Amino acid sequence: MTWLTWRQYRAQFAVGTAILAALCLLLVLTGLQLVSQYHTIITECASSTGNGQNGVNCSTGGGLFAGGPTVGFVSLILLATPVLAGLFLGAPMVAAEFEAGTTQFAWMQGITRARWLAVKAGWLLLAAAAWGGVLAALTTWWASPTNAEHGSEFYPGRFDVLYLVPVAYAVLAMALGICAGALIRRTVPAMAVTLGGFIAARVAVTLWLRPHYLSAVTVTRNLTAQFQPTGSYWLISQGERNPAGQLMPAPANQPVAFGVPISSLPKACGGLASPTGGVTASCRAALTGFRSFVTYQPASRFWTFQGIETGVFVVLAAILLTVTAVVLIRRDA
Amino acid sequence: MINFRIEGRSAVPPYLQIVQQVRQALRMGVLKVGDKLPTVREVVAATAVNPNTVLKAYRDLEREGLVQARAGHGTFVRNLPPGPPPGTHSRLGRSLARWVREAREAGLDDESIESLLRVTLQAAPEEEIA
Amino acid sequence: MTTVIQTRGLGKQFGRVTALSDCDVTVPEGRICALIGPNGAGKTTLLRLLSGLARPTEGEMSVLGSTPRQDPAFLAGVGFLAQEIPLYRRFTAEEHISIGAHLNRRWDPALVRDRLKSLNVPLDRAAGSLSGGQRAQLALTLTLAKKPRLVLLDEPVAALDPLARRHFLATMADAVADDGLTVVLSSHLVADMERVVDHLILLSASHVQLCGDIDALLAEHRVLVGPRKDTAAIARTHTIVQTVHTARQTTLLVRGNAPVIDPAWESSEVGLEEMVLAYMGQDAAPAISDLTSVGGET
Repeated sequence: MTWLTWRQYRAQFAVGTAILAALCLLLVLTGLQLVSQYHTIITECASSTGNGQNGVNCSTGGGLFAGGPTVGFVSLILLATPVLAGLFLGAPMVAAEFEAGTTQFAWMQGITRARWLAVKAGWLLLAAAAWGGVLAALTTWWASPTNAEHGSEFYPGRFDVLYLVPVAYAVLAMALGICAGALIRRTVPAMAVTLGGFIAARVAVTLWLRPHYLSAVTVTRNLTAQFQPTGSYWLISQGERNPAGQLMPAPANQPVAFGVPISSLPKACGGLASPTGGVTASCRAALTGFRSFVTYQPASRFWTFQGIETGVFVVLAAILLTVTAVVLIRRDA
Repeated sequence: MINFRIEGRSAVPPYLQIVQQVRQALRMGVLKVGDKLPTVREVVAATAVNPNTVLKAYRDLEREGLVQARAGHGTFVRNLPPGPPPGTHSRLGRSLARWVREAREAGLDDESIESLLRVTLQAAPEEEIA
Repeated sequence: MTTVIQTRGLGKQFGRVTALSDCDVTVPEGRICALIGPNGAGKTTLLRLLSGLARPTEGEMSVLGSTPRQDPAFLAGVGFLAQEIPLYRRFTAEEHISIGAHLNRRWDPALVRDRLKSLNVPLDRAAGSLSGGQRAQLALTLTLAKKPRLVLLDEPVAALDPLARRHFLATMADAVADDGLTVVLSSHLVADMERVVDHLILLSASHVQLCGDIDALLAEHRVLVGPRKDTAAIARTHTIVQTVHTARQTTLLVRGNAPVIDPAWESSEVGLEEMVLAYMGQDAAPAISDLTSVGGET
């Protein structure tokens, strides 16, 4: 059965390896670029806080480096890659055999459907994990300069392509593909369901589940004593409240102090509007009762979150595979 | 070696066709005493008939005493069917050809000849009884 | 004699559609059994139930001594060839042989190679590029190569030319002669198979109309022809399968062993095709204009 699986997927394996190699090449080339830019910034800006030599702007961490289109483009690709294996290998695994009628051939040979599914799906899931794992490892290396510079490891979009979770995503996509193919029995609709299901799962987990894996930490301080969490934390929300507890509006093209439009502050702090004005004692007194808060996930929880998210997707994959097995074995061939 | 032909649309069932063809072959001298009949598998491969059909035919021939099955070796011709010596057929065949020529010259077509032959065959036993 | 297939009350429903209903079937070992019926009668469904590819919704069945199930021992004993002749289009005959060798406990690759070579079927061309007859031979020999005890074939010769048909049936009959195999093959044509089958299952309108040894069944059936008359007397001693009345003549196809005493009836033997058509046409309307009634009695 392993032999048959290999024979059937030989061509796809070659294509997949080629695509993986291309992606790795892309990551390596852009990654090396990022590494050299990072080293330039480190050396140029080590001693100064203003502009270093060669026009590098140290205060913003270097324009090209921060939000370069390459980084954005590659990040988009990396978000999409986990689903590819599930889409092109998982969905057709059972569906294409139903469409060709070869299930009636394969399932009348001397192996049970359970074993057929177990061996085929097993190898495909392993391939998906390898696909996800190689890309995750290379991406982690690729992302390390920007992570170091901006502390963005924990942020959605960055969290999703590092370390463990891409492996789990790829495995889920494969399980989804196999399940859709087994239930729908037609390749193209199964692929559509796989893609749609994967996107839905990723969006739902990132937006609604991940922020709540562990209760976020909220730190409230006086408006004047702004608090900034350390390390690569994940900012969930932040804001300012007046003594009545109401949220104060976010600035929009107005002069701002402590993150709040000066016009919203008590009169005593009106002096902050002038370029030379500082915080007077009366202003400080008027500001008691004004609070700023930061709701965030601490950097120390990064690995816990990676683990929980991996677990969520692996459990989902397991459920889908169980459904697949039950349906495949019990339904008419 | 005898080559069986099974006619699908005939009124004669396949196993009987085999029996008849063996008897005919023996009469014509195509099969001689001691010859080996084709194996069941050979007949099946050539004619796509049911193996049981061939077995039935060979069993009937064995019961008639014409052939004998030797375990592990095959089925062999044992006796000729009762009747005139082999040469008789060719002699009668030649005189039949002469008669047919005569009938055609008299104006009979093939269908009339066949009809006449059938009537004669049916009448013959009655004549013998009488 | 061992019974290879035995079913009782077997039925299969798809939603509200009844494909098979109340089927009692018996097939002894070593038979080549024809499963005949019009299109849509349920032949494919019955074969899929017997092979274990589908599950019945009612009734019970025993195939090779047990209920069909996904179990290597059962799968090794039963071969199934679907109507579409499913093969892996990209794989060659040799590769199919390897697949079989990997997936089956008993496997006779020489059977496949020798047979295909003798029929000039190339072993190294992709299955998708072989002709219909060649693919049918490849699929059949692959089914036989695992040395099953029962082979189920779904309309295997319908799409084949006469020569390919002959080769297919010869290969099949040869395997029966060699191995004591039992075969059930379905068809909606009788003429092709008449010389090779010795057992019959007749399906019509999702029910089993006839099941048994062909010679025995033919011996039980007769065609009675007589002047147009009432058939009540005959109905008392025989089962009337089909009645055709013309203005002056009545033709009956009857089943029964009792002698026909009434001298007005001329009795003759029935051929397989005629008998099958009579059972299949029981509910069909006649096409001939001077018939006044068909089916059952007047």
